[in-house]
Amino acid sequence: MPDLDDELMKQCQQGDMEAFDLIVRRNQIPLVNFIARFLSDPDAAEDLAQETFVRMFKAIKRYRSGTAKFSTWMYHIASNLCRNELRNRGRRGRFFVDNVITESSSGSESTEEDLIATAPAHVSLQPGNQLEQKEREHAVQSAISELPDRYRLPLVLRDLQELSYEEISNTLTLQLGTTKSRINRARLMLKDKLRSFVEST
Amino acid sequence: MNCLKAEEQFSAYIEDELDYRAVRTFEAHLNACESCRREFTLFHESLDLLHQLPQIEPSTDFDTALKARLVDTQVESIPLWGRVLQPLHGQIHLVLSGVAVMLMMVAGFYFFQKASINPESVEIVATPRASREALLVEERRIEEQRPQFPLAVPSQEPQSLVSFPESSVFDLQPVRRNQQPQLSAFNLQPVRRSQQPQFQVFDLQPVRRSQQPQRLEQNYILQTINYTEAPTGGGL
Ligand SMILES: [Zn+2]
Repeated sequence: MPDLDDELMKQCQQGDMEAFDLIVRRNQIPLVNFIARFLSDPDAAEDLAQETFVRMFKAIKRYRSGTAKFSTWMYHIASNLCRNELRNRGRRGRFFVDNVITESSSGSESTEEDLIATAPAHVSLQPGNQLEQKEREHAVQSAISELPDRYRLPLVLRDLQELSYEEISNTLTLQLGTTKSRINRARLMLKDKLRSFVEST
Repeated sequence: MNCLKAEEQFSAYIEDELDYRAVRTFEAHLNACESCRREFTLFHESLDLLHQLPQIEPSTDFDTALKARLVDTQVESIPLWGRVLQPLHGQIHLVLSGVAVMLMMVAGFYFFQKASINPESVEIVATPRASREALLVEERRIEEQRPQFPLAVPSQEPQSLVSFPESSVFDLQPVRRNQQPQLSAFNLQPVRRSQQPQFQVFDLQPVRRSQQPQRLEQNYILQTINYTEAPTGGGL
């Protein structure tokens, strides 16, 4: 399958900067989500996503098509920025789980019909459902935020960004086996952190 | 199989990465072990919760803010060593070793001439400086011949970012995770693995990503293909 972003990068290299717009538009949502979920911090996510695009823009000439997937390159840059960010923050105020809860799930504008249209089939549509959704998101984001970075990062790439194991090992420059076992480990930890939440529902 | 080993295979089982024998062993253990059964169910449920996280929308001024940052950003040129090494790759070795061979021949010739004229004053002309200079000349020559990157990037700003069309053919609407037509987070479907009909507790069928109706990526491609006229070789 041709990688459209890769094609767009080639167009950028030939001076077609509209192609870069398109790259931004195609990738900003995945990128912001990745960073926000990894850092549990949507405000920093916007800033770092933009920084990622700036870095990619600067490196247009150095981009080498075909050596790796575009997404691998993008997440590699973003992951490094995130890890720097965490290092800079040190121990102070790392997580902002409350901030990361999405607007949509606070439900101020959603009608009941919206919810019906968007809710997964198994979710019961009763009053209080919005609150439940919010609680659920909070519980999951908190659990994610408690995982050590080296487990959280591949987990987010796999289960939220839906990268393949191979793409993740390229992104994080890890052995494939290490990538797989870290993801399983991360999921096991997540399971333990979500135990009381799951059992209470 | 012990419980620890079973736990290590939770993901591999869900992602269908175990071979037939391993699947049988894994399922046999879960059938026999209530604790692992419970843990596996919880594992599956917490993964489902993870997959249901709603999408975070970037703020509306994301593009504006990015544009402002890009205005001050210049595309970095490739450093000299990178330029020489990158585009030419292996060829550079050929060129350089060719140059080296020529230098040696010249040096050898010079040596023999000198030696034949005056054996006393034989200088072993290893010419480190001379060859370095020759190499630099050669590099410069390569540099000049190398087709310049056609990228005449406007150093100030990429024009187009200034004007994202408000809505256009390529107004990419994000696919929202929670709008996807019932990815049935719990995918409670009959287990299709024919080899283990007795394994009822685990009707939590692995969510196969590849079966999901759409991924962001694919969707974008479908929607943008007209704009870019990207080669459709198999993507669609
Ligand atoms: Zn067991």
